[in-house]
Amino acid sequence: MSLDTADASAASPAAASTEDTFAGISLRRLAWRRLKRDKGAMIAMGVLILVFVTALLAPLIVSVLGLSPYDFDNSALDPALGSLPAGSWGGVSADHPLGVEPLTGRDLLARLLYGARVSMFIALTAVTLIAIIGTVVGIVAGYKSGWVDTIIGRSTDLLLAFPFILMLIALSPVLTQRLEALGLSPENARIIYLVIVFAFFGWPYLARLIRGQVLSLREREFVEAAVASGAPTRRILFKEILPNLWAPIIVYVTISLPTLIAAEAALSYLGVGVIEPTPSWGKMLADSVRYFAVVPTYLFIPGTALFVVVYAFNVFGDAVRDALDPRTGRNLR
Amino acid sequence: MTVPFLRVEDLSVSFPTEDGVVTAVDGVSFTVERGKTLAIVGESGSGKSVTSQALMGLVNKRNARVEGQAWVGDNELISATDDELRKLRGSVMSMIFQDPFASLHPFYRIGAQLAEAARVHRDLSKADARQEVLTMLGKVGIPNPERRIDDYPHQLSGGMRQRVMIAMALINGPSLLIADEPTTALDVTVQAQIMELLDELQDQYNTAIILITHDLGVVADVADEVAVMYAGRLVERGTLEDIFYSPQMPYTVGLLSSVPRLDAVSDRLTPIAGQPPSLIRLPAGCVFQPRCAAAHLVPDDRCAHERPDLLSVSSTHAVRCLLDLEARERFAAESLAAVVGGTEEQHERIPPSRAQDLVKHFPITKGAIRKKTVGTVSAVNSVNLGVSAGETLGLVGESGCGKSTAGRTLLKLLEPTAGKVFYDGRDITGLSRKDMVPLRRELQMIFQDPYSSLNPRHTVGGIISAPYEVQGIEPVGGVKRAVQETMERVGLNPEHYNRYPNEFSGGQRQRIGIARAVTLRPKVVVCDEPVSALDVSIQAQVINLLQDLQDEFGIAYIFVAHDLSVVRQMSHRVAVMYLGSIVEITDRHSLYASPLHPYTHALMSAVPVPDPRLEATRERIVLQGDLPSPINLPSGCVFHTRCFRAQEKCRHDIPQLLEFAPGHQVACHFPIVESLGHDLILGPDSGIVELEAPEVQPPSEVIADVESAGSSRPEGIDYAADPNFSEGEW
Repeated sequence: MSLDTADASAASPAAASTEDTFAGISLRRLAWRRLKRDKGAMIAMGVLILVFVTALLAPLIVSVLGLSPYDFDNSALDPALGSLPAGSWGGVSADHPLGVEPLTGRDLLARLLYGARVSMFIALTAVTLIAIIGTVVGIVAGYKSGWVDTIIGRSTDLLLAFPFILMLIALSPVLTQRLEALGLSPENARIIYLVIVFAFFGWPYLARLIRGQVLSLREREFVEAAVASGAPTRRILFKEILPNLWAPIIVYVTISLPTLIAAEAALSYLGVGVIEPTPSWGKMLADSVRYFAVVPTYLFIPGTALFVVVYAFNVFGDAVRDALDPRTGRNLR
Repeated sequence: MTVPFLRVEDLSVSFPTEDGVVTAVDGVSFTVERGKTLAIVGESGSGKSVTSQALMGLVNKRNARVEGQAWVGDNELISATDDELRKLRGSVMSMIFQDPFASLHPFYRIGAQLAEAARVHRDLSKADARQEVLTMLGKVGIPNPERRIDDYPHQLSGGMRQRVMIAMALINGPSLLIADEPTTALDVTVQAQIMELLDELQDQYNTAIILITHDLGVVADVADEVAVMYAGRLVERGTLEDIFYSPQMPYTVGLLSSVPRLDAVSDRLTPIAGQPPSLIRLPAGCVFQPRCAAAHLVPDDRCAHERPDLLSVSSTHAVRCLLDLEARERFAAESLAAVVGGTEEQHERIPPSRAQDLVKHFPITKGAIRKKTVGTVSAVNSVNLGVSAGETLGLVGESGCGKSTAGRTLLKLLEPTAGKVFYDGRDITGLSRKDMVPLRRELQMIFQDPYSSLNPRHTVGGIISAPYEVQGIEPVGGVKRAVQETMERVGLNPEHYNRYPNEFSGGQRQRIGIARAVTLRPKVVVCDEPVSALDVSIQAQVINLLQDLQDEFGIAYIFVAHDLSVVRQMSHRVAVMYLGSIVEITDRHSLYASPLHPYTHALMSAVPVPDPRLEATRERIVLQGDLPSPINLPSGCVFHTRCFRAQEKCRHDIPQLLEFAPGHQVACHFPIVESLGHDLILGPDSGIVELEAPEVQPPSEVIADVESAGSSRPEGIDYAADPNFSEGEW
């Protein structure tokens, strides 16, 4: 159809001149302006901010509410039912707004908030590491073809071929011990271990994606123009090429965040994740599955939280990607 | 009066978008008879392609409104259902698309695709269909159809694929053929083949053809009638003669006077000012009024308020313009008179940039780690060229001839395989990337594709100021001011400093690219097809800008292009390349007046000239076949496989680039020295270098003559062999 780029661009100066208010603002401010117009994105952002704030302030909130994530509360349990929560809805009461954990009677709201801290910390730190390593390695591999690319390509293949979960379980005791030897508490050692392992096995996927993109970006004439003006490789990689990679990076990050939270849950379920008494959403999920038949509400608490956060991340990531693209929104389309 | 075969009445196509309704086609009417060709001319966005898509029923009716009527014989197309259209498409009417690379399915053999096209509409057995495909492939000039029928599309060259597309379009003998820019993606010698083929097939099948194109030369070559479209409207319609010799609409006049022409050189092209309008915010009056050079001739500013109707001038000619007839004709005569011969200046010959025996090979490697070389693409073979300050050297040839590679190697964007590159008398061949950095401010490049050459994530200011940053130069008054001055100089609004490239049209983007290249005031700029991606009216603006910048700053250009007309307009000297070698190099007047190399002859005769009468009398040399692969270069003269003068000698001996007339070198054993006594295209013209050619003799004797002359030449003339020539001669 001829009404594509050529027409749009031919028409754009006229369109642009009527929107002179946009002239002279930076990409960040422009992106923010666009984001603000996107209602879904704003709601998602609100949800995420809320989750972050409550996670950060969890100790404060919990103490204000007079709760504790670690304290056992036998009074909330019904020994007649085999120490299941007393009362309906999983033991919901004024003392325990979301009910209590079966067997222990620990408060679920407090554990949910503390769990958010752990889950979010693991997922966000791991995904940040993945994004940094994957992007840098991918850009270098894609731009510097030849032996650099070959070596990077082979090592990513190697990592991708690793039976990741198996390795994780096998390495767990050794590595956590090493971390503990560095002076970390056992709980923290587990958390750091998870972050390291997720990052270590996660970056090759992103690196591959980025490398493919760079292979085609490299051939674009603006890269040659930069070479022709004498730009050093570093500048070409990070000033010319990197800004064009935000879309795949953001998409990948928003897709892998929920995967990482889920992976943490799975590992906790397998017993190599976060250890007692530290709560995490994954561990709560894993735990609740066992009681699903008798206390179904238990499953829905961490489940809903996970769903909301993951969904909000996806919506927000999508909107950020669109807003960062100078090609969207401002013109005809 | 008989009813015309194709009748389009009041066709409108509009697309509702978020920003408003885009009326891509507005009230277009025309007719085409069988056996005739209607050319629809217009720039991108003029609605010419949408018109043809609406006729074929290819406009998605879910997001577009199509109104009006179109009759092919007894079939009405606009109200037809999808099923009815499907029966018509491919049988009664068919279409050829621009890009032969995208329009054939890469997974199926061409024979299967063609047979499929035939069997959809006719009850043919597999064997019959195959037979028919073979016949059809023969008809469209595919050599060895029996062997080619089972090829996959990627095994065919661009020209061959377009032939296959034509075969597919014609296999059911349609009465209407719509060709949407059928040769735009092809080289000029291949374009000549395809246009000739279409012409033959039209005679054979008595087909009505709608040819959609932006190339007025192609129109002059093949059309019977012409419709000019602008901003979705038909602004002028008439016979070929009407449009070319008495154009009425100032837009048509502007198009004709802004095309760089093979048959004329003017000091300056007359571009149409401004940009095509947005289809959403159309001007209230005549759609062309904001760009019209004649609008002020109409009293009371009527053009700005009144929409003109398409009114008849004669029985064949209609125009949409408010000017009265007399004023229109006066305007046309004055504008077109400006397209006349120009003057030639002499330039001092101190070449700042020069290549000597330049060779660039690209290895074809296999294996991931060891990278075994299994072959070589010989992109450039022993090329010598140089360019002086303020001079433009045109580097012309078909795609794959190595002209871009030569240009890039000269800037050391590619490392030469052998040979030397000089800049400012200094051998820069061995310089590392780091050592090249300070030189980069004097050696710059302008790119072909204004979409890929600007980083979409950087602002215009960022793009143009990058050279300052990289070079660490802090101009007086700051980078921003210097950049804005350059923006102003190249015709951009300096206030657009913080805008992104996607907000600009192709022409403006090319200006951004030019600004980036010239902002540090370089000495040598390699222009790689700088105007080939632009619309005709914008092309002229950019060519003029490049010339002005050259005059102002004394820049030396190496102007790489495939378009001989553009090269003629831009260059002082021209080098013709074929398969990595320069086959002919001289000043532009000698080249266009008396080309010596058969390839140059063929290339020039293949370019259609936007002048139907001249076009009708021109003899066209149609080269056979395609460019040989640069992986296996032909032995001897690389051109012998396609040359119409090739002899046994050409198969074995590589011809040297020899000087046949002062400043005119050619690499050919049997150059065409029969003096034409006049410009090949223009006719008698002043200031043309006459060759000291022998009396006109039968060709064979001329050849003998040249051979003996060649052997008795003093040594020094053999440029490639003479060690003394290297300094200063260029």
